[in-house]
Amino acid sequence: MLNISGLHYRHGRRLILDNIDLQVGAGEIVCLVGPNGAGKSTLLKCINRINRVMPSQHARMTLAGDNLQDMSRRNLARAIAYVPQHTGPAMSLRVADMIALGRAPHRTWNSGERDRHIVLDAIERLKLQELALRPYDELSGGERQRVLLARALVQQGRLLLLDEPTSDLDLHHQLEAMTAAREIADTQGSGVLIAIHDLALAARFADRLVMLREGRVVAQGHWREVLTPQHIEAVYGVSVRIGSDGDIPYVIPLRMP
Amino acid sequence: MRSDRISPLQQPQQQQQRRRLLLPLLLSLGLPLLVRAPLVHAEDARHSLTFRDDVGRELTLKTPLKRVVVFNRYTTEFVRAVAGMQPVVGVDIDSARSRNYWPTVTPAMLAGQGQSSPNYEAIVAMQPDAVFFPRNSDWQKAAAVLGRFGIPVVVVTAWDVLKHEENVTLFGKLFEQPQRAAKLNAFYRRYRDLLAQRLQNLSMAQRKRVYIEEVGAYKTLLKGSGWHDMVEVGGGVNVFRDVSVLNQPSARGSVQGFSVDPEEVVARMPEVIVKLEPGQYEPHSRAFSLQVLEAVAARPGFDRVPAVRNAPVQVYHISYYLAGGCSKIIGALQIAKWLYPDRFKDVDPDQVMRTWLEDFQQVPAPGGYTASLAELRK
Amino acid sequence: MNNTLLVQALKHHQRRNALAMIAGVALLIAAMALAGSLGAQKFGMATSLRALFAPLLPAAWLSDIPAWQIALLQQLRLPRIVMAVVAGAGLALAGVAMQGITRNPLVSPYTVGISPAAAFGASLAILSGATGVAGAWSGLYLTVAAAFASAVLCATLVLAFSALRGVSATMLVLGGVGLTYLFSALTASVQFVATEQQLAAIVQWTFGSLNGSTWNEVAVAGGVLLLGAPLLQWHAWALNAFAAGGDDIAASLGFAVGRVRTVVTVVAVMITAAVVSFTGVIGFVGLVAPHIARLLIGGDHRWLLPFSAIVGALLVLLSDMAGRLLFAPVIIPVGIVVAYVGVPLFLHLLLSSRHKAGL
Repeated sequence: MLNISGLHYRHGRRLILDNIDLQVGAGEIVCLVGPNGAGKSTLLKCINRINRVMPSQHARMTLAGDNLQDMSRRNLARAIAYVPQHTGPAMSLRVADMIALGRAPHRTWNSGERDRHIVLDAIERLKLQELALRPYDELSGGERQRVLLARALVQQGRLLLLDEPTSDLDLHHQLEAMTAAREIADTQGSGVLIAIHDLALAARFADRLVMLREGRVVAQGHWREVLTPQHIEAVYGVSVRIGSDGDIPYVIPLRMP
Repeated sequence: MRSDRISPLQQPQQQQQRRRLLLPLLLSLGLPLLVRAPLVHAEDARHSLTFRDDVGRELTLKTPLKRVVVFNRYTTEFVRAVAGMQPVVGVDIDSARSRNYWPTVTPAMLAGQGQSSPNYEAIVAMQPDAVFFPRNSDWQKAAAVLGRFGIPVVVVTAWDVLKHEENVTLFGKLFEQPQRAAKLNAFYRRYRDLLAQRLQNLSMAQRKRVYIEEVGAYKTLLKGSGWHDMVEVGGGVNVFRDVSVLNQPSARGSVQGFSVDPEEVVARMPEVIVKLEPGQYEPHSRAFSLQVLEAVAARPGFDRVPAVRNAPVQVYHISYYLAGGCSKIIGALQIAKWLYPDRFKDVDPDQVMRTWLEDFQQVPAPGGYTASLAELRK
Repeated sequence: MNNTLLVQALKHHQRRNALAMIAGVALLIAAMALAGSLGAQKFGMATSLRALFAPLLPAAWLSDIPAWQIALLQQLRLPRIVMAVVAGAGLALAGVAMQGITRNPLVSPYTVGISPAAAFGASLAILSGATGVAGAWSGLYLTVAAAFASAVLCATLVLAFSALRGVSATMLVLGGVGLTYLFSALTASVQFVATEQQLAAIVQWTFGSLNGSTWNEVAVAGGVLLLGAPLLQWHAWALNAFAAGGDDIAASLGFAVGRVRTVVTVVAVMITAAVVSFTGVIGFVGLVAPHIARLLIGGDHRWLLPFSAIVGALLVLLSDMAGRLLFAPVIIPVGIVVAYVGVPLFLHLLLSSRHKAGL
């Protein structure tokens, strides 16, 4: 589905991303992990062209074979759904209208009926019926996250990008958000790329992990291969114990060397 | 590089959108055409007069004017002096408010705030033969709006001292009262000539230097203002006469009330200070005058100024009414008397004012429009 | 709540909005009819309506009304009423558009200095003397063009300022205050070189006035509004995206951020310039009308745009009526009356925004 090779990104003089190779398959969840400033958010923004990447001979970004750089804005929005980390203070829009925004790239003059169905469907899937008519800025963090996911859902993209979806959420809502992402991947067949802090959560829900450090990929693959105490100590500077309780992985930080 | 193609379904949609914009645009541009042209007044047997107004527009009106709306007090005074209040059907707020000075004005005659914000509907309802505006107003707009109703706008600047006789003569013709106009001009000329005669052998060096101040502190009048002319006709020399912010003759009149540096006032060492006071028909109380003039004399640095330093101190209060009356000739007379009391021993400005008010304005003369600090201190 | 209930609730909401719109339009029409019958000259409602539609009615229906009264209604009152509606609707639309683009409910043509800038541009046009005879078409277009140029300059500064990171909403408004003072000072400086007649024309503008509005002026301002309003409506969803999430989100949803921002800003500034050129600065309409509209109809720009226009039109129309009638026949400029209504509402807005993050 998503295929990135040789991606470089500069901001001013600094090289933020260096030679990134990354793949996300259909229906697959890939989690981007790494310390603050590793470039996770930046990478996501490069993929959906919020950050302008200089075209170069060696770098390629394709989605299902189509070159991402060549796509029009509208087609890009149809293909990729993006859920940002901070939405900032929004001017009050009802939840239903917030979600309906996701249909914008698909909208034609006679698509009203279809758009409505899709929006209602998403509201049902993410259990937002009670909140549908409330103003968005009156919602709590967890509720807002669900609304943004619903919006991403109605965008019906082949790729879903989530930037730190769990950072501001409590335990319950963290699980809820990741479960919803899993569901989207399974039912819609979209590839899902999640930038996330929480290593255990990432390991639990991802099909594959990609670990970044200072703009470079230091490891990728199954969580058992990527989340090793050596890798973590090298990247985070913290020694940890890693294990799993049945299928559910855990990461326990021990001390700083 | 757009790999996007507009779907065939969208193209007619966009064209349709554009067409939808066309209709409202045409409608809005076509609206003025829907309105009918204005109706002209019925003709009656009157004479016709062609003349040029203050801004050079050539106008032709039927005389005598029987119904006029007048903006600007000075103009109304002239009309009253030449033709009485009978032809006046509309006035500005200044005239409507001073009940004692304008006893025949009723509230129904109010035509809006005045020259800066006329109430066009009220004017139209009064159905006047002409509306008078001074040149320091947006007469152009008024002429455009009222023109649609066939109501002519005449620009007459009655506060312009230098056009006094011309204006009065014009009013004489417009209201077909040539004798009264002549009488007023004679009155004016008599005192203007008197001033010129008695001051003629006074050289520039001998003339006293006057600082004239408006209502606001340190706001003076410059060349181009009627008050400036009043001082100079009265034989004084405006200490700020050399200052000219503008070099266009057409800008005269917008020189009212320029702020000057207090230090500059002191530096120019005026020998006489004249403070204008916005007055109504009712004069100021002596206590008020004393307070104002003492405040002036007490200003920082003013104790060095000849006007305050000399004895008797020459600081005067002069009400707009006296100063402005009859194109400021009476004010000029009063100033001349203060500046050169020997040369004008036989002239009584209060008496002249009395004549102006009682004979020409048909109102009683209360007196007391001026005050002298030296007098008040006694 | 299951889905059928939700669908019903959504439909109900839709219907409620439509009803509010219809009620608004009806109220506006009623207010216009009322304004037509009231004034320094009072006419009966029937008389004034007959006179207003005179060109379309047979002569027999009008025989009892003197010609000058018909002319008064058609040439003085009706253009004034229509100008009030155009000015109110235009300024409100400009306000909504600017608020959406900058995601800041405190932004309006007045509070960020664009109205004063337009007034300054127009005063320069008048000063140049190239506007010719009052009311001439060429003069009107020149005035609007000059106002637009000046307003665009100001708008560019404002947008550049607001796009910087770290600029909060209050900072933007404060910057606007500074620009307002700058352009007001520039306009005031004009007095030193203006002739008396020009000065009298310009000085009226600190507080907007509808006195002496002519059909030509209405046509130009109204034409610009009729062109700009559909353009803004076309971008309603884009404004939703901007208001809801900002540039990045709007881009990720497929909107051409730069182009939309340019078009919307140009249209908003154009409408403002067209209105201000003729009426002078009428402040707070662009701030207050959208705020009221939001309270009544929510933040969805598909409804917010037209409803704000209606609220703005009503606001200016009723203010002008109050100004004409309270101390008749002395007319209080509409800008002053609107300020009396607008400032308390503005302060209320400021206070209530304390609790919102980021403001």
